[in-house]
Amino acid sequence: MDHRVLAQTLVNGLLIGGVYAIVALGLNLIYGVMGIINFSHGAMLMLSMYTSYFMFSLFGLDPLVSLPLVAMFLFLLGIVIQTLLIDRILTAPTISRLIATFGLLIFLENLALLLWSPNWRCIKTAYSVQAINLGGVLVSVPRLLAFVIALLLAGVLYLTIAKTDIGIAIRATAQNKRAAALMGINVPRIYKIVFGIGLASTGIAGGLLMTFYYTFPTVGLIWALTAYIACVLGGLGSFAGAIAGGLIIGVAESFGAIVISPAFKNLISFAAFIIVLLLRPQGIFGRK
Amino acid sequence: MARLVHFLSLPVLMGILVAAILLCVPLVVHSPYVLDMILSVFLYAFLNNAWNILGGYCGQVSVGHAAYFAIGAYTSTILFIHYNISPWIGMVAGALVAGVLAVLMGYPSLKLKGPYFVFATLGFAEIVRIILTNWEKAGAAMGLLIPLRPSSLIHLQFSSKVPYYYLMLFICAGGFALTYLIENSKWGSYFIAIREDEDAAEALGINTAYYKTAAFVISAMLMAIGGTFYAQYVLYIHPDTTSTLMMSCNLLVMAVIGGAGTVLGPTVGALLFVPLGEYTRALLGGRVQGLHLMIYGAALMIVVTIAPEGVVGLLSRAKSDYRTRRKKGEQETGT
Repeated sequence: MDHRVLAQTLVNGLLIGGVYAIVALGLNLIYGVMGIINFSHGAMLMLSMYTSYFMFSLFGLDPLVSLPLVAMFLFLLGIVIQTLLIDRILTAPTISRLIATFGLLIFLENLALLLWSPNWRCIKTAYSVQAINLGGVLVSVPRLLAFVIALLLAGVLYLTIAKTDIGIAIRATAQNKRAAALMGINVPRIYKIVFGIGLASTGIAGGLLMTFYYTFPTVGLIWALTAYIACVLGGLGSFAGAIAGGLIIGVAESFGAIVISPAFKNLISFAAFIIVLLLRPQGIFGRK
Repeated sequence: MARLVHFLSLPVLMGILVAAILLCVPLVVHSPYVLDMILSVFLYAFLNNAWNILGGYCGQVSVGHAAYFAIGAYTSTILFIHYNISPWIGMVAGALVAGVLAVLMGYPSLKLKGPYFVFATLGFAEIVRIILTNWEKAGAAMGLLIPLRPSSLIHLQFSSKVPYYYLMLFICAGGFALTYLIENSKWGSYFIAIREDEDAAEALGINTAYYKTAAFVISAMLMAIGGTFYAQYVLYIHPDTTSTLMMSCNLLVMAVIGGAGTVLGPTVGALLFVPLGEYTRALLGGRVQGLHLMIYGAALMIVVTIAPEGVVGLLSRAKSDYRTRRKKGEQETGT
């Protein structure tokens, strides 16, 4: 493999890894604070992609312009889901929680099928097929934008959690919800906000994906699976872990597709995932 | 005599009655549609049972059990197509392959706790699905059609549904009996001890790694047997109808909603879900795409919020409530 192909593969992997990272971030935040594995995360990504699509096709809003709107919509949706479903199953056995979010996944995927048919839909923007040539390496503009915005979002989210009052309250709740409640933190409210933020970050990912990818009712599954892998790779509940995991998976898939075959690119990530699980189950950044 | 009367207690009598009715069904029911539905109930009751041994009794939640189902279906089919080996031998081979893989996967991954184990099973099932989708000898994305042979027990192919019915009934009853035996044996107690508190079980001297792996192996082998039977019944297998997340989750859902960790629960789950699923699909599936699955998803969310311990759990809770209330009533009238 000559070095240009190598560089190209690396760039492609990193760029898509940024999107994986923010999907994983949302998932990780929810798990880290509430201990809920959100099986319906893929459906949230799908909903945000459709939202972005309809903002474009109905109102002519560019996916990048409609990003805040999509994020807002997903945030509100998160609060609704938290209130109606997650709040009621927080103390249920793990398996019941799995079933509840699995039920939500099936419900939403089939709602999308019913409303919007299984057809693939995509958006054509002016920059959809543009690329920049950097010393022989082609960098796709929408993917580069997605990567940059994803990292920016991750930075903002990090600062929010590290510095603001609400961030401190979220961390306190994650550490010990009873102690947090005793300190006057409104834990149910924090849960709503966390679920909202988790979904909003997925919403941003969906909006960004729409600039270069297509949507259909079950589009979320493979992205969500990859996000689970990224989370576990980096360490469940770890912020830096989600980002590192996302980038690693992006690069691993990209190389897998070149070295072995595109059909097996997901196999690479699953195999890496199982190996990491078995050797270092707490993930690269996770603590035991 | 007294012993005989004791032996013929209510549950045993009920069991004999149910068995007698089930044996007579094909003599009365001739509709292939109804027989097919009952067969599906048997198959799912069997598969749910298999899941239940690991997930219900031993408490290790797998969301990738469809992988072992696929392994059973594909092993016997590949042996049949390429080497002309009888599906019966294929069934044994499939169960062995599943068992070996369960040891290889189970022993290390069962050290993982909570969500990590869930993810490991998920990852394994996806790997199996991707390999099957790309492996030429396994039909790749086209799936495998099982060549038709004259109706016979050796080829495990019949033109009528009745032999399938009896076969599946016996397989299902076998799975049921195995669960019953496990529950009433030392193994069952070990499994439950591990589910309730693994550290405590370990401290009491139970080799938890061994028993968890054993539960995984039994469970996976049963899944594979179900897979071979499914392949021989439907005569067409495809990665997307065998090793999918949906299939794995459905097993979990039926077992848990029926009542995980009980002998009857998985069967109750199959009895509830298969006909309901079939009925809503027939009623709504053709008219409005996706509606019946929307109802399924909504029902799951509602049921889990109302009865997190499953139908059998709900019933036994109602029963014990009733008993305590009656006792209270007796005490009150007594004084």
